[in-house]
Amino acid sequence: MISIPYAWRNNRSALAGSFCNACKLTWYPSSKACPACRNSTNPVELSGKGTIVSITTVHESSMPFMLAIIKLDEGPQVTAQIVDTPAAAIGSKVVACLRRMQSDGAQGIIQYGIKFRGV
Amino acid sequence: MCGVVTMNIPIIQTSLIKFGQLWDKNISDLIYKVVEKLDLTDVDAAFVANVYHHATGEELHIDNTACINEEGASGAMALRQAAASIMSGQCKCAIVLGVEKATDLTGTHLNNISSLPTEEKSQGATVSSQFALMAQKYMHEYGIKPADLASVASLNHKNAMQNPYAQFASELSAEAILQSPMVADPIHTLECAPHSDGAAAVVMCHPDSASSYKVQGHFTASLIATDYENTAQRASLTSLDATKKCAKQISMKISKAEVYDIYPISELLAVEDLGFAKKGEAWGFIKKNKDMINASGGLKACGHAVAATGVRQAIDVLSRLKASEHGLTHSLAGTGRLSVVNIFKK
Repeated sequence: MISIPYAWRNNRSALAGSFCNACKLTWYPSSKACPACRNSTNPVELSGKGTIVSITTVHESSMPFMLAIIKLDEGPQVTAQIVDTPAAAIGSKVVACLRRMQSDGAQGIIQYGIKFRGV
Repeated sequence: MCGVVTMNIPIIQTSLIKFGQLWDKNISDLIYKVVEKLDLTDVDAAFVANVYHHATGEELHIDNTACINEEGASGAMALRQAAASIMSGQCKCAIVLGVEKATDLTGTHLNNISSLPTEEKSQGATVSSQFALMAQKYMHEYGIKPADLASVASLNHKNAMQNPYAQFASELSAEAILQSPMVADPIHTLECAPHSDGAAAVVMCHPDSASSYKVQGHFTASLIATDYENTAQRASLTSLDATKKCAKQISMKISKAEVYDIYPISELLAVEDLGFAKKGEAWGFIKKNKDMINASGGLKACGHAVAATGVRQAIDVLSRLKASEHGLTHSLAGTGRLSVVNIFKK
């Protein structure tokens, strides 16, 4: 089991990013300090809209799934699964959606997180 | 800033076990086997590279021992640390030992401990999936086909046919590779470097005491650079900044190179990022320079005993250098969060 990042647990329905006033850059995943200049950042809610930069189908689990790197409209890039969009390709427009990530057995906790689907 | 160490460290002994699925050997057996032909009388420091088992190198009985884990770059990093230690006067003669027992672990376990940030792992990302994303973008930008990628792996198998230490010294056609199961599109099973068991060791001394030994070659420079661990945060998917930053510091003509072909795409990116070929032209360059790039067969055909690989690459590049020629080894940690380039001359 891989734990879900805390930022996703705090903010399930939207992508939580951060904005650096010094660099004028938006970052994802959110970070209290700017990865470029280490100044403190402000939290910012990202639109969840973006474009696929690269996409693959991963066969290393029991069910193959699509994994992509998405450039969000605000600038930062994110690695995330693509769902409900079999024709997704480089250049496709996508939007974030809340999806089941994994569960701890039939009786265990279900973890939710952000995936992306075609617009 | 890229970390540069320049020196002229004599390499006085080398030892290599043929990598493979060595079911009858554990970590200690591999260490005993690789050092049995070495004379450790003058050795006063050990640098032990191991990723999966926290090997301590206790088999060597050397008090001044440092353990190093930088994933695929562990062996190269251990060489660098040993050289820095010799130059600082911390030791006079050092053994660098890379050892790995990978076949004890399952693929799931290997994926869980691999160097990917939680944000990517929780999406199901693996080292293979991240290199597949780089390969997809590379194919899209430069018109390279899956068959070209398979041909990179196929060529490494062909090169390995001359190498008695290669795990797979046999031909493997691009067609056969393309028919093997998909790992992460476009990477097929037979394009992945195998997780191997194995060990490799070199002994180095201070330049002042070189005349006491039979010198096999020299370790002349070591370059490292880092990048974001998160693939999505990097500046580009079709080049690795960590390698490019190292390449900027290379001042000599390189005649032989052992590069990190954990997948065909990582070999293509390395050849371009090291400055041997222009963007998109790596495969053409490799075909024309078979003796220069991964003449040993690379990780793909020699096997990838993770922490031993950087040391194995050094032994292979040294064995192929002619007098006054320079050669390099290139290795990565994770999906490119760290690149180590070591330079050797005869």
